[in-house]
Amino acid sequence: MALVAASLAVSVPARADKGGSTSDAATAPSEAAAPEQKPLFQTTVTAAAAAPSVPREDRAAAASVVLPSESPRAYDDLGTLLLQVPGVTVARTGSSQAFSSITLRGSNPDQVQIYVDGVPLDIAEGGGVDVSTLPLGDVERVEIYRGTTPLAFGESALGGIISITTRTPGVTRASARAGVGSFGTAFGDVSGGDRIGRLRLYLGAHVYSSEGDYPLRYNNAVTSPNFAVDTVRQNNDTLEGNGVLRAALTLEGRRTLDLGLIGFARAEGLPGPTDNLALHARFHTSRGLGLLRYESRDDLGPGGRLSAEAFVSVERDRLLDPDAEVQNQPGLLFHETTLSIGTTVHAARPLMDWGRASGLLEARRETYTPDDETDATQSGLPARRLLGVAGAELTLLWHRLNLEVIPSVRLEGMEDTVTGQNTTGQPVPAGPAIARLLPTYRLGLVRPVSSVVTVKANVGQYQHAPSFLELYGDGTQRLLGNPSLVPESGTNADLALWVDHPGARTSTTSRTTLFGALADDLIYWLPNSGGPSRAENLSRARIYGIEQELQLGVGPHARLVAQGTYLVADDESDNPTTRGKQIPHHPRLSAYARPEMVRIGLGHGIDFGAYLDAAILVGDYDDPAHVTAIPTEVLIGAGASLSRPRSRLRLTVSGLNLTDLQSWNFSYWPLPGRTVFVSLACDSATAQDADAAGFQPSINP
Amino acid sequence: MLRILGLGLTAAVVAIGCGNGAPAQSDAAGGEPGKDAAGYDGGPAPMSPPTMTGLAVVNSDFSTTSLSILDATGALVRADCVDSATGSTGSATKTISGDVVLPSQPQLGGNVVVIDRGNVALTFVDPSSCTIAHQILVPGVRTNPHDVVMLGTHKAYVTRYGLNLAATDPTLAGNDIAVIDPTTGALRGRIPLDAYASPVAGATILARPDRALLVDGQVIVSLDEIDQSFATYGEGKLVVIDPATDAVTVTVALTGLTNCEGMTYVDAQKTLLVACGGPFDGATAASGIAVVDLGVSPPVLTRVIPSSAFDGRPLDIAWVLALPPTGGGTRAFAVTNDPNDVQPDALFAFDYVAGTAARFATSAPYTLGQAAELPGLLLMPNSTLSMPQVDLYDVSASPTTTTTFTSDPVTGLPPQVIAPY
Repeated sequence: MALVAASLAVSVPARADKGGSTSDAATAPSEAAAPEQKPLFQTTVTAAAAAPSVPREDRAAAASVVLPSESPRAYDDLGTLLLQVPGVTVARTGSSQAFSSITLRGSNPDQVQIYVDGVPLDIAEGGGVDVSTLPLGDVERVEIYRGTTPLAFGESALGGIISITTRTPGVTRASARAGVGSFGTAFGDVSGGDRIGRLRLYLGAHVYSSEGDYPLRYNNAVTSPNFAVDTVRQNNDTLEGNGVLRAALTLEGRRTLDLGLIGFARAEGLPGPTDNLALHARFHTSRGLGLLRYESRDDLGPGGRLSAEAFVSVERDRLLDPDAEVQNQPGLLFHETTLSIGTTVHAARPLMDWGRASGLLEARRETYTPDDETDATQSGLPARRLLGVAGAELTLLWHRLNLEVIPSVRLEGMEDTVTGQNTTGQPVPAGPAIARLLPTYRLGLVRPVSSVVTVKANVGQYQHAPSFLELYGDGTQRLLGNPSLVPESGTNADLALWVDHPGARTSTTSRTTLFGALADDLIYWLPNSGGPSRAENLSRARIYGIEQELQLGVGPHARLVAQGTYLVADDESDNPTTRGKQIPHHPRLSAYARPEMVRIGLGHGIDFGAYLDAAILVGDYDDPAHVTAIPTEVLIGAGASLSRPRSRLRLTVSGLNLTDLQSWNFSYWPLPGRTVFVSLACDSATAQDADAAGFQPSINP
Repeated sequence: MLRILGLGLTAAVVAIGCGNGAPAQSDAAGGEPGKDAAGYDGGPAPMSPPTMTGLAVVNSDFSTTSLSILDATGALVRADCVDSATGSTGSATKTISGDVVLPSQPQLGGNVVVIDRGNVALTFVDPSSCTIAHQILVPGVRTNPHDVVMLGTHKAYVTRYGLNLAATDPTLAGNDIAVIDPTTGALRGRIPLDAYASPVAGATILARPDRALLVDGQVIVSLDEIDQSFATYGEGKLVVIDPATDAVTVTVALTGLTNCEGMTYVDAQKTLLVACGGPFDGATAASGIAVVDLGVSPPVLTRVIPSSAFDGRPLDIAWVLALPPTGGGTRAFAVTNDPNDVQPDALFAFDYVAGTAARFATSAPYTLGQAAELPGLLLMPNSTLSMPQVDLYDVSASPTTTTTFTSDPVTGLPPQVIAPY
């Protein structure tokens, strides 16, 4: 708590936003019900719309909000979009559709929980979420909570939460976009929404295809230039389709029933690392999410909020390696399926004029089924996790100090089981169920200092349960399970200074955060040449640093989006090889800046916009011993757009890595060089309509 | 997991084998394997490997690797002589991958030859300047080279342990012995070993040539005899190859043993010891030390010291060393492992004539690497996570621990393999 320094005492009115407007019934459920968007203790709302960067689910957290619609690029993926967020590291293996992992601060990908419309995507099998499978076509906003898990999300995470919200139904609009890009890329989108009585709809569908044949230069005997190979990436094609259907029914009073269906399917080549290129291996990914959510702002009295969501999530990955290129095993066809069914109930209501109480219940059943289609006996171990979460949070207002004190406690209980049968009904070694209770605690503080400055602080203790792979292995004698693993644990703290200055000529949004964390019992796969490998609770980490997020607006036409992160993520294990060294794939310094010009009138009803951006990554390593340093990266991008609001057309061109830097995040996985996208979009929505739905008038993926 | 596995980001599997079969002729892929087939440089193949200059230590966490140099007394001369980033220009390729071994014997030319299984390359390191003298690719991706025997300036045998099922050119598929020019990496020929695959009903066993020794002008190669999926094991086998003809002249069945790899030769007794681990699933019936008499023609398997003579656990396949006490004898050293990764590694001294064994040291599971010997001294790489070091044992009489040292204090990488160069 030494980091908590909220002692200044200037009373300021809380901010308000659209969530507190008079159009609640027509507002998206997720917006309408977000208590953090409206003043906690005011019932009269007069302020203007809040900055979109206000996180919905937590007032105290070190959080960032990104709206894909504000991106100036012709095509975006999540990793590129989040370059502007401090504390985020995306590690790629290739094109934008290739496997990418994401970490927050010093965490690993498994310690970041990703939610789409409240549905958890992380699976108990482990490995984290491949963020390349999270397209942005129907995404309205992405919220990133670093080091803190807001209560509304149920299962907590050591590293933090990424919450993706799809577009709000109900705006009458239709839009379409088509584009092309480097390396044989083409993409197209259609989306639209409307109202039919009390029913509000949104539907989006998107396709993407790419040859992915970017130029490639590699040399597997690097000291002999004679062995250099100049070629193009082969077997790197992608064909992808995804879509969202959202339907919201306005019920009596301020109640809504929201249905969401989200689908994603991708077939892609697996090109392999440059020391083991594959020409025919394929990978298929399919994911389906369904949710039904009831939200009410009447059931719990004035100022109360009740949200109940039932969801089902299915993810199926399939590896096709007919020519034995990936694992050098004959005719490998393998798939694994994770089915998750659950429900979450979140309730909140004011407590007189001194606070607010929130509670959460979550129950989830998750099954994991691996299936070797060529040899069922090699399928591995099917497993099941039952998860229950109960949590409570108080938001207490200390009027005299104008200080919000937000303690919360959460208890996560789970039981893991090897189910005892593989996909052909053959028995597999079944062990006793592994049950555990994971309590987590958190205290948040919010202290407005002036009308533009707020101090926020958090300290929390979190845990992360071992994955199925860590507990049970892969069913072979090579990766052994370890049922005695204990959960990873960590204590996170941060202290932030938020500045929001919405001036008439200039506006400033600045978030400066000091953070620190101690993580213990981190699970580590013991390296081994000849014998089996087993996961152990062997590692510790000490993490601290500073994050700066900045958005400046100068007049109506110029703005700057920037971030900088200095991260110390030291291995504190007893392993002298790695002790005291920065954890791999966590750059010591990362920064991003994007100056933009927007809506420059060119006459004839045509507006012009342009941007230049640069991302810098310094001090990163590919290995824990720091033998292999990842060279400093300076990735330059730029783009421009022409739009004609009257005809609702917009032409955008954007480029990434314009200096054609040969960069890489993992050894043997070179990344694409210069990449250009061009798109032409048409949107029927007027600016007024779009603003009403929280959209910018620009159209983006 | 499947996504990660599909990306090939998991570690490679390491293994071995042995058998019996008919001699086969080499397939020349270039050069003139006729009158100068022995050395491709005008002279006959050497009768024996060069005298040891010093020792090299492979330090690795299986992600990156460094090489340390020890002198002929076992003293550390140079830590981090070269490593995975040496000479790198910042590309995504590691100069030396995380999966490397050293040859079974010193090689011609005085360089340390690093057998890079991951990069499928040979890296020749000048130990005096700690520079990479040159580097060649072993022909054939995914062929997983396991050993090399330099037979002349322009001729070397490389055991290609792996079979690349995706290869369209059989000369590049592996599961054979590649005859290469070690100055350029050019494939000069190959010695196919399909004829020496041990038959197992219902499975296709691959010969999987592994370690190789130059003994009295002949090259002895251990064959692992395992199928492509590492699910079925054939009987272990040795083949003897005449460098003059690049043909297998003799085979020796290691009856009752499977997964045979590491070898040591005792010149005084013309005896070859072979370490056989048995199947990777931990069954120990086919694990033991094969004792082969090379003093008779053809060589014969004289006895098997089963794993039960040790502690009943499988023997480490990577190595066995014969190192008699100062007064002479028939003593050797080997390690056993627990395939369940629970019980500690156990270091044994055993008598390969009497068949008796005695444990004299233990370490955490799978931490004892591939040892080397100096007169009266056993150097044991120990990769224990909290204290990676080289353990020195005085073996002039009964084994006793003398001291330890850190083989690479620069990178901190743990030692895995020590071998003479």
